[in-house]
Amino acid sequence: MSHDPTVDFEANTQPKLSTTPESTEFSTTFILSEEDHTIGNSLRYMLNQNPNVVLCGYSVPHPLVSVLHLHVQTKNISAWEALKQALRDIQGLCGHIESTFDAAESEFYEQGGTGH
Amino acid sequence: LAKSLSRGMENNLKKKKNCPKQLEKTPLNRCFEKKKNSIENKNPFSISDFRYGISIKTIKKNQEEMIFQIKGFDFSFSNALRRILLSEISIFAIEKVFFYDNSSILNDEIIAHRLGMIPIFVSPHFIDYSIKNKTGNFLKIILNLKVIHPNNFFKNISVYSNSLKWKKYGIFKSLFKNIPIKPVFKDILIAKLNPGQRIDCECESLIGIGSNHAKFSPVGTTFYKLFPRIKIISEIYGKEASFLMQKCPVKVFDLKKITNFSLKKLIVSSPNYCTMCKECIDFPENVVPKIRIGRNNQKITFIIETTGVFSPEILFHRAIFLLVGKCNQSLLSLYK
Repeated sequence: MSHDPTVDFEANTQPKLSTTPESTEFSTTFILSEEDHTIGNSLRYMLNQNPNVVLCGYSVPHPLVSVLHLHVQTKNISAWEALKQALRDIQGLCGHIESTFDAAESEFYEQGGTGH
Repeated sequence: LAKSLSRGMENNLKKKKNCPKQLEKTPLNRCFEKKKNSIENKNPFSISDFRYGISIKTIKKNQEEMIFQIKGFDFSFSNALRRILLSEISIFAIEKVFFYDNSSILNDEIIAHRLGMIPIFVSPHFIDYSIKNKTGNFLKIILNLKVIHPNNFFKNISVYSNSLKWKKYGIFKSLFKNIPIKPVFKDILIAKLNPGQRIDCECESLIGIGSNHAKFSPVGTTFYKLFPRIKIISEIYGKEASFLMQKCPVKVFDLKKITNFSLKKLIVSSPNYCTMCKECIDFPENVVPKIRIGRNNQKITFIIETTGVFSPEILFHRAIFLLVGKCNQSLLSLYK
């Protein structure tokens, strides 16, 4: 399966991110390979928080093929910029969640809760 | 034609009446309305706002289970973390079993399937090392199982998971000799043997992820709940208050005594027990509503129950790390 040493799984992978042929600068559909609802929903939420984004939606065309379509329409900035900002925001958010989680855990231990 | 149409509408109404209460739509004056997502009242996302808005509180924690509450965090991210925890964290489990001797009543493949589901305790540093050295020779963990029923008494014996012994070979003799590798639980029943039967097999365990097979998932179950929101619009006293308090099956409401007033007032004492059964708003439509229920989108209770291989906080750190890694992959291809 995926960890079979005889199969070289780096050989024929699709490019990670590409666009459909009818995309323009302000309205593009990104095609992400090997992704699914995990990152699709989070990206859609982050893109909707951007005031320059007019429309944003994602879809998984077929459940057996792990491909994600993300459609973005923007006003003043290009769609690639909007996607870059959203991805960077998610990274910053995750980093902050981690530190808050650590702080909550040490507070729990301080107040007398044991880990057992 | 008119008669058949009216009969169809009657059937629809009947279906609605027989439908269970939770699936019915709550009438608009008894539930909170969803906030509309328009361009005008959209605030741009800023990390500093988020930093002040978020707070995490740990409710319960032991070696296998963890419950914590997050405020100010949208549910799409908690769904992403839940999906990653279930299916994308790498772990060791028995994958290939070589049988030398099996005269028990269970077939080879049944014993192999049961052996695969046993959680194996491996230290997380070793898993990181194995993931990095993925090319070519994988580091395999080999466990031996050799049980023989001595033929001298008539009762059957049970084979438990503490008969799985770790075989040290090659690099394990020098580099990793102080790591204990054994099944997490000692008392998992594998098979039962009658007098004279024996099992002799060698189990190879490899790294995998949960989307491949469920034995590779490090959590038993993990889920999140949105916190329920209950609001009493107009104050309720006396007989009606005690009637509503008894109607709720999980004791969300409570009666409170007010000074200078003989009757008692209804308050919401423990909203976290609410299961949204809608008993407290079950009145006919012409009665003025006094209670509104809904769910709070920003307050989430997150529950992680592990199988014992990792402790819950290590799992959470790994899940966040994987989510950041996914964003990184897309960012790299964007910058090219």
